[in-house]
Amino acid sequence: MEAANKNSTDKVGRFSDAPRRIDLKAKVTGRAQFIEDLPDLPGTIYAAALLSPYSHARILSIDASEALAMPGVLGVVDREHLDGVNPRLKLGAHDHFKLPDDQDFVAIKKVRYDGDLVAVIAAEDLATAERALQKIHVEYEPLAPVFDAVEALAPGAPILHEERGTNLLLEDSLIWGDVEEGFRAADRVFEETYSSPSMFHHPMEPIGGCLMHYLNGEVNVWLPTASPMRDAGEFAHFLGLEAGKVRLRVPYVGGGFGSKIPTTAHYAVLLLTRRLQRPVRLVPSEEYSFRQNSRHAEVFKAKMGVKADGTITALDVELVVDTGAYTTGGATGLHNSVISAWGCYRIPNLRVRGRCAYTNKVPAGHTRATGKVQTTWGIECTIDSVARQVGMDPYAFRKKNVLLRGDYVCKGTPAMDTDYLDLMSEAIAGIGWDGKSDLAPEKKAASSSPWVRGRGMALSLRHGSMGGGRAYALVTMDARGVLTIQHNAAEIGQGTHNLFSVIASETLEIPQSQVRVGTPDTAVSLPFAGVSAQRTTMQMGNAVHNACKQLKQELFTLASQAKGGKPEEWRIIAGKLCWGEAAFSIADIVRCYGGSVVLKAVGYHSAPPMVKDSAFAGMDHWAPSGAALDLEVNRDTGELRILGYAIIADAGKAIHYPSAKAQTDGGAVMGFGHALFEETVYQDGQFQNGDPFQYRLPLMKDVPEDFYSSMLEKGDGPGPFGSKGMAQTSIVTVGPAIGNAVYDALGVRVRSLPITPEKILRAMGKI
Amino acid sequence: MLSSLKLLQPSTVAEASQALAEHGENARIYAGGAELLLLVRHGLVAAEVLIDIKKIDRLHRIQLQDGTLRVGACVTHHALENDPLVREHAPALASAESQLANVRVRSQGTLGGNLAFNDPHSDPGTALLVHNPAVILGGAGGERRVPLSEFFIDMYATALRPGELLVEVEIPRLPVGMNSAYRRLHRYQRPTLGVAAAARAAGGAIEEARLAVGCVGPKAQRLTDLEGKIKGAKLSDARRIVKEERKRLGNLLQPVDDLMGSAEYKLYMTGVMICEALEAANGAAA
Repeated sequence: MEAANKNSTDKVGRFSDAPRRIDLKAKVTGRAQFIEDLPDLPGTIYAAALLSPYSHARILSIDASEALAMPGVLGVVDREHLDGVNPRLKLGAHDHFKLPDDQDFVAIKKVRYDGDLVAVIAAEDLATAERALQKIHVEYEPLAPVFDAVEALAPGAPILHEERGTNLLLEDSLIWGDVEEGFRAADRVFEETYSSPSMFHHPMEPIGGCLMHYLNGEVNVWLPTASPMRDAGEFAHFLGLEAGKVRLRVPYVGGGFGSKIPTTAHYAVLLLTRRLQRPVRLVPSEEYSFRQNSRHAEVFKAKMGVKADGTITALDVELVVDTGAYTTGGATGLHNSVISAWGCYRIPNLRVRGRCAYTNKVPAGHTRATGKVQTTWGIECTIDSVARQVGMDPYAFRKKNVLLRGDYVCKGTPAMDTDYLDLMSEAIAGIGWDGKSDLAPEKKAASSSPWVRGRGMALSLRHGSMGGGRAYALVTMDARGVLTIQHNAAEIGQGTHNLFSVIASETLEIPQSQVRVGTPDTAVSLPFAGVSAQRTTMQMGNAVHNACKQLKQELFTLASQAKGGKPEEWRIIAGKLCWGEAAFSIADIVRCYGGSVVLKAVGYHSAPPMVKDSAFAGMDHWAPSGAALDLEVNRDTGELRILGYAIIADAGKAIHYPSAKAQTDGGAVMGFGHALFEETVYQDGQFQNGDPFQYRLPLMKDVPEDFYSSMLEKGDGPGPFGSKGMAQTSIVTVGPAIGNAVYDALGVRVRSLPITPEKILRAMGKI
Repeated sequence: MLSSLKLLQPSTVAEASQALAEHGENARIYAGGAELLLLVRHGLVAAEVLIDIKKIDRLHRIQLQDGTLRVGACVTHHALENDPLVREHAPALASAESQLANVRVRSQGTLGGNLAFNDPHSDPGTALLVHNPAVILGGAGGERRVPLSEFFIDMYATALRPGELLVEVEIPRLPVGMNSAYRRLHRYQRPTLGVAAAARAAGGAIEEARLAVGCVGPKAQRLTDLEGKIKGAKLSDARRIVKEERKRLGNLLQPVDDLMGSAEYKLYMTGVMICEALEAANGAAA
């Protein structure tokens, strides 16, 4: 339970006061508890996981007898020790696809990636468990791996799932108009290809920690997760229990970006705690963490038709999405890519076709702006390149083609609800640029300095919070006048709990010091799809807002019954219930009904219903951003210096300004990593850089000193107080803004992420 | 996870060498631990006994004697980076030390440990080579002096014999008018490429140049052929000569493709950075 912030929130603020986050003090003093800070329960034992060293191999035999004979070793889960459960994991339902259940939580016949789970040992202490792993004898027959989705789809590629006979997992498309007609209407047609690699989320807290205890036919689980209700349901299903028999609590989560979902070893831990009837804890290493989740690699191939005046007539996109060894997030990765591949432009004739393939890589789940980092990189470089090839300034080309407020977008979506012209003009102003590009950069005169300057721009569009069903919040006002909010939205770093506190304070007009926010606990039975897909502010924010509005009505009713007047004559002003000139504390009114009375209200938010035949399932709003970037490139070394970056997101209304801005900043910083450094590398049958020493993240020095981030706040969103979901808008624009600025400087284009000095030198023909 | 280790703390080089001889393969010299603990953690080095040499006073000194700078094996990178004597006497080394990894590693790691492990992705060895230094190795039979260029044998292999430890590095004074510089290319904490140059120019022509390259190839090494070719050349011509020599450099350095970049990229950048280091060394001298 987070205490209210006593220092700065005693008065009722109107947003702009931006009081400190309620979890700030606990986090900066180290008092905040993450999974590893939770003390052991009495009798806790430790689990350690044995992962496959091969990317593709048949398991000929597993023998854990030597490990099991070691003193202190209590049990093992492997294909020979499954306690009669079906190891096949059930995939969550997807709005658009029927997905194959293709993953066993522990390897049965084959391992399909470097990191596939082979066994989990439980022992009295961690050191014993880890030593015991070395005594499990596994005989593998190595098979040829495939690490590239395009190669995986080619004839003769090694097949990962033999029973399917193909590495093709899914196909998806989005079509309107007639592209052939559109290309006939075009004066010129261009083809462009852009690719992006698999990446790792790299949360500061590794993936996979847990503490689980099976007792009296029920399981208590402590887990850093984004979706406690969903996970508890999956665990219960796995053990054959009623959903309510798994109680899951979420401590503070040390970052997720989509990665904090159950890992395969969590299912083994469930079996071990049930079998041994003792609490079991798993403490993951970074190397383990790197092998639990990833971002989809993708190839984006576009054909764009344009009239001589720069009007886009048609766009035909082919996508190949790499989901890794199992379905995992394959459907979302592919679908999000397909529905976002067209950018944010008026395209009368569109065809996007995507294929999703298995490869022998760490499975790709959801990652901040799933599918969209890849397509924004593709479409925004394509736009820049096509504009230049028709002799138009890319800014002018964007202004000509971009969707404007009120424009029809496509079936099942809201009309365009943002102002791209504002986003662009603020972004270019943010780096002190007039938006004009050098249309003949290759002709730049050679100067004595090897450094050449360039500027670039990128826009993005993503569906706002989408799907997820209903979100519920429960608010309780006690006889002290203190409000407690219960919910199942994890505090994963982004400030959700503080957000709910601010929304409650604003709605009930009580100080934040009178608001408490509970931590997620599935025992309260309040569904929420999870802190992902930019839905928390929008969906859970509205649930809290609605619960507080109901509670306010009830307070007015009780006050009028106790003190007189009609409910509608009562107001809350500065935390006091007022009727005419009479003013009472909330506690005074609640206590009129007895010292132990509490008031409760449940609020909810429903995503809009699905529209038949629409690829966009029940979305509330669009989530756009605009960015501009200023850099210098060294012609001799390919080195980049980012001189300035400006990113503007459309927040609708920033409910807690510093937190919303931190989302914009943080997304952009992560975007610098994706644009310049990050890539998981597979070679010689293995994952080569699955550890923090060899996986290059952005450092503080990689973020430009001149870094401007801001938000449009027109109060036009469907979230509380006009807010919109916006946490994934800023990560996507960095890559294309850099790619376009490099072109502006040198007249050469890098077509794959990350943009490295080596690739720049190659594009220049220097190596 | 580390298993438990036995720690010995000798107070003289002789004692340390005796302990090494006694425990043989099971023992490792431990100073800062920057290289050692990483290898132990990854199971690449199995050590049961650590011989901590930090209690040996002599190994901590930085001293100028008769024009030779003596640096003890336990002197940290951080101390070297900030020492005015080192900056003046061996600018390339001071520069390399200041760019090495991060401040935590620099505060912990030692020069002796860095040289003795001979990790190819390392800075100080390359920077030192243009100063023609020697290392003093201590063992049961006393001490011996080995030029650094002969000390580095191959990736992770040195001239250290069983029972020997690195005691000190001797850095002679540079010839009058000569200066040194170090250039580092990196994407990760460890360098992708390190280039050192020491040069003396007169009237725009290179009178004498020393060049060393590290990280590309199995060990840091001097480029003596190239040094000969640019001797007498104008600085402005050096760039062309280096470019012409790229193929020969490739044969000498044998770069490989890895996470840090392709062999072609490393070789290209070696050429670019040799010129940069040469210019910097000359600029500093001018």
